Amino acid sequence: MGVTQTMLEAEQRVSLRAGAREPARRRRKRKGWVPYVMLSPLVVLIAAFVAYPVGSVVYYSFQNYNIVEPFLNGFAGWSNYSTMLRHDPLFWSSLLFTGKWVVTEVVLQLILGMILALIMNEAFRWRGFTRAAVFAPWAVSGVLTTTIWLLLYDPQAGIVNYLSNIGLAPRGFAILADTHTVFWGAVLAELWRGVPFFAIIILADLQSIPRELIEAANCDGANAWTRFRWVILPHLRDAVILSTLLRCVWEFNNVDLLFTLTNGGPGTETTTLPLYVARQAIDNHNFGYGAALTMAGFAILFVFSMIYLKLSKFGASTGYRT
Amino acid sequence: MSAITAPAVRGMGGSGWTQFRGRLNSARLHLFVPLTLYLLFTIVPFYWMVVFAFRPTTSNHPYPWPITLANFKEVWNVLGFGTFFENSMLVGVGVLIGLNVICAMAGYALARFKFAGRSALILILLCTQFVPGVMLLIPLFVIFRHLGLIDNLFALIIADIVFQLPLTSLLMSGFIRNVPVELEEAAMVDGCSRVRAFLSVTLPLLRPAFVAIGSFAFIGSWNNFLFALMFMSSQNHFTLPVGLDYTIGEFSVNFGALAAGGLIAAVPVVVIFAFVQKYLVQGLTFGAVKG
Amino acid sequence: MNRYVGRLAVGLAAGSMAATGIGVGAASASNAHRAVAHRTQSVTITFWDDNGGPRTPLYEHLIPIFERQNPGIKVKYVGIPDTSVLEKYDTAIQGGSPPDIAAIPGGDLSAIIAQNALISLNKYYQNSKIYGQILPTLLKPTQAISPNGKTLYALPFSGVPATLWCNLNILRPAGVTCPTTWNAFFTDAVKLTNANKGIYGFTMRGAAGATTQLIDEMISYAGLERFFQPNGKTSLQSPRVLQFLQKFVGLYKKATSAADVDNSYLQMVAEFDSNKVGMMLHNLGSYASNVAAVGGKQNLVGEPDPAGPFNHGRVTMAAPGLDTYGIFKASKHQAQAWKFEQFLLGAEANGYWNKNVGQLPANKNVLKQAWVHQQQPVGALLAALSSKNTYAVSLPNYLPQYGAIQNNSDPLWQEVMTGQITPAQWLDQLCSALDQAQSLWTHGHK
Repeated sequence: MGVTQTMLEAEQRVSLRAGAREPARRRRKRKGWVPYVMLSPLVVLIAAFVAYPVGSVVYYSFQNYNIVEPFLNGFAGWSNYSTMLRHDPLFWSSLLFTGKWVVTEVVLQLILGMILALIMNEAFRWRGFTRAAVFAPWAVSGVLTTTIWLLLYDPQAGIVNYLSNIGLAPRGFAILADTHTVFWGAVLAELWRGVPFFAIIILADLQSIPRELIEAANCDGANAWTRFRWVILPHLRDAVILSTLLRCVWEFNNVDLLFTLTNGGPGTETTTLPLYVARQAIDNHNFGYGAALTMAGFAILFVFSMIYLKLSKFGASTGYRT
Repeated sequence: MSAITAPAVRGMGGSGWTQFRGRLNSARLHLFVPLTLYLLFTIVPFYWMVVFAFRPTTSNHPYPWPITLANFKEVWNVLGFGTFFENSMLVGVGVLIGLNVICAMAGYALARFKFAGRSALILILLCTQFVPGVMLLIPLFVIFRHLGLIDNLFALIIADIVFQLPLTSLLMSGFIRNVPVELEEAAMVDGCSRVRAFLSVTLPLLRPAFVAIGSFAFIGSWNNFLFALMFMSSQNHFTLPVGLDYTIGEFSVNFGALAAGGLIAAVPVVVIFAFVQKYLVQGLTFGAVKG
Repeated sequence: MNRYVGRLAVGLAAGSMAATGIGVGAASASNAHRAVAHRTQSVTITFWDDNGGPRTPLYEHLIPIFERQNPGIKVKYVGIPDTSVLEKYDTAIQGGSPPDIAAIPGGDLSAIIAQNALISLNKYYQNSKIYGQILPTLLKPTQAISPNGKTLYALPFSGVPATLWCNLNILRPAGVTCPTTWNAFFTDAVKLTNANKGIYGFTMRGAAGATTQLIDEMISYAGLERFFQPNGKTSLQSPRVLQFLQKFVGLYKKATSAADVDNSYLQMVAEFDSNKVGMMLHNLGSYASNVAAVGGKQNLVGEPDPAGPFNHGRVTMAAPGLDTYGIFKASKHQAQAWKFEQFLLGAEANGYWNKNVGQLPANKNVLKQAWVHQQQPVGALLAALSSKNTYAVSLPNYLPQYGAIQNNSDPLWQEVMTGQITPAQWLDQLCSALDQAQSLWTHGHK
């Protein structure tokens, strides 16, 4: 009983604080120019360097624009889109794989990142070293990550070879060559450098939990799960929602790992939509069709973000509206 | 599951802490088993990199023996990693400072004010993340050419800031919202201006946020290959990721040099992080939120 | 949603205003810069190397020699990593800022010609000191890349023929010599394999670049004498080719590691260089790394692709891959760029470059240099290519889509290896893509 009581009080304190913020906001709103001044560097940069490139993608999706077939270039109407939707099985299969890839990666990264952040928030010997080690893969560039994992996975030169020498893996086991194992091989490599993202954001956010909230819960003998569920998780809520969304978008659009590790294969087994876009743009020089595929990805991410933010009621607890 | 008693740990002498100490010790195993497993997963690839970097090309041993520095000499002297390192550092620091300043301003506005266009702005920020970089290269190149910034490291600083801003400013606004607004208001009641209140009260509390975002900023630009290769066109303006790609030739790969270059690129960042990570813990420790 | 669209439009307008507004200032600044450059006499030309890193030291040696010989010209060397060459070139050309002169892989040349980015070098070449010195074996295929088959949009400086590499550390103990016929190759590959010890007879390229090599190999096995028949259909559509593909894919897992399905050249060469694989089909370009890995020249043999069972006394092989130098239309110093190109193609520089890389030199006079005969693979390949008995088949590198067609076939070849489609299905799609591109090209250039 005592626990619930404390929880309620803590909640009240938090909501009181949120309430106390309201009059202040209203007071500030009158000086309307302040937020605009503070936002101006951001707005100018985005307007100058993102608006035109993104606009050009929209434009080219309606063009035949293949830089090596200039004699065919010109207005294409909806033809890029209709090719994509009606005659391109690779579009649909890559889309399906993208979904599988994003969900697997983000869920695993979030869970592992959360656990690691909670552990590393503890005091123990070597904590500094441990943190540095856990975050280290994040400092490694894309091309290096994939090459390290290629070398690890290589059945001749890789660690797999030594594992099979001592009987821990089948001889000549090639994780990236088998259509059944390639997915998990790629997932593991991406986890290696992806988990630190969540770990560091959650760890940083854990630092801002008001101490008396936890202390109060502790005094009342709340067990670990209760504390996590009712004190810590609500506090991390917005950070988790936002970083998960951003990570989804990032995993959706990120190509460098799969490009080098599997190049979308074997076959087209691990081709994501953006990897397919990169193929169209770089190998086929077909920026028109690449643009149409990009727009499809854009639309999907847009709808997904809207639904995600609505369903998760992002910012509901602090009056943060989207 | 003592994992979540976290902030109490900081008040080492606090009675809450002493009470829990016994229980904590019995629970340590839950802490160290997963942590050790994860550390193994993290460290093995690094070990493999060390093996390749320090052993001769002809060796097949799973340990760096006979030990050699030839790969490091190759990347430093022949491939010119010294220059690349310097450029990466310059760009990284530029991005780190620029991004944190712009983020703090934008994050504060987004967290503390209601204003017309706020929702639209957040939406646009999200939308900027929806387009893969490869489709934006040519138009971005044209913009930088018009600005006279092709082959100028500022182009990299700007481009890296622009494409990291949406993520980091949204995160920053989240962090700022978690700093109780009464602290600032109290300062303002005491006669501080809003700017003074922000600088003297809120800013110090945002240290974990600056560390987190600064790390993102620095590492993001440190590892950005595409922009560095596309917008620079001088040997002495390239950055480390371009240098790493030099080890992957048209017909053969120098794995030893790649691993050595990789270590040169990764180790300083890991070391820097080992030093700054302690500031992640010092956010709200000084009793700022009492009452 | 309308609210958002409206605000987005405002944002767009503001962005373009900001961009152009600042742009004006920068443009005048660069004019001033140009004026300064004009006053000083020396001209700087920019040279892009398409294999930056491994080849950088070679140019760092050659450029100072050139600059001493031509005091008015400075060369700015920029090494582009091989992984992103075409992307970098495309972006620079489309963005309006290409270099003066660049090394261009033969396979990417048509794509760059199609962007109308290069100047014709015919006149420069005819009036130069090096006229007539470029080997016809390399010059002809370069010429054939241009739409009219005559214009030289670039000049070749090196040939990269398909090569069968044999690691004698593996072959010797088994009493096998490097095979010269495809039939011997198929037998030896199986014979050399001892999977329990992790030794394989052969390493197959399964991923990126697989098709490029397969085309060479199909031509050599089937003894094809031309790529397209007079009716515009490719000669690859033949039962002999199909027979080859079936035998070849039969080696997968029988004489190779299961991992080979993922082999781009990167994994393939790494596998060969791990000293656990007997043979590899690649090209001359991996010479240096192979020699180092097998522990010296005496353990390595490089031969042309083996001879097929149908060749009636003649050997057919695909024309070698090319490395070329081209000069860009946008260059303001084309004459100076040509001087540099002429220097690079001269016997001295060309010999130095190819000797160190281990590829076929383009300048006839280099053949007199001693190293050509001391490097066994270079000697063997040169002998094969210049033999009267050899028929070198030109590849359709003039098709701007040729690179893309090969790239698109690579993942499908992986599906052949994993048994998802048959070799016949793979060949059908490749041939129909080639036929279609050829027909588009024929009509487009009429």
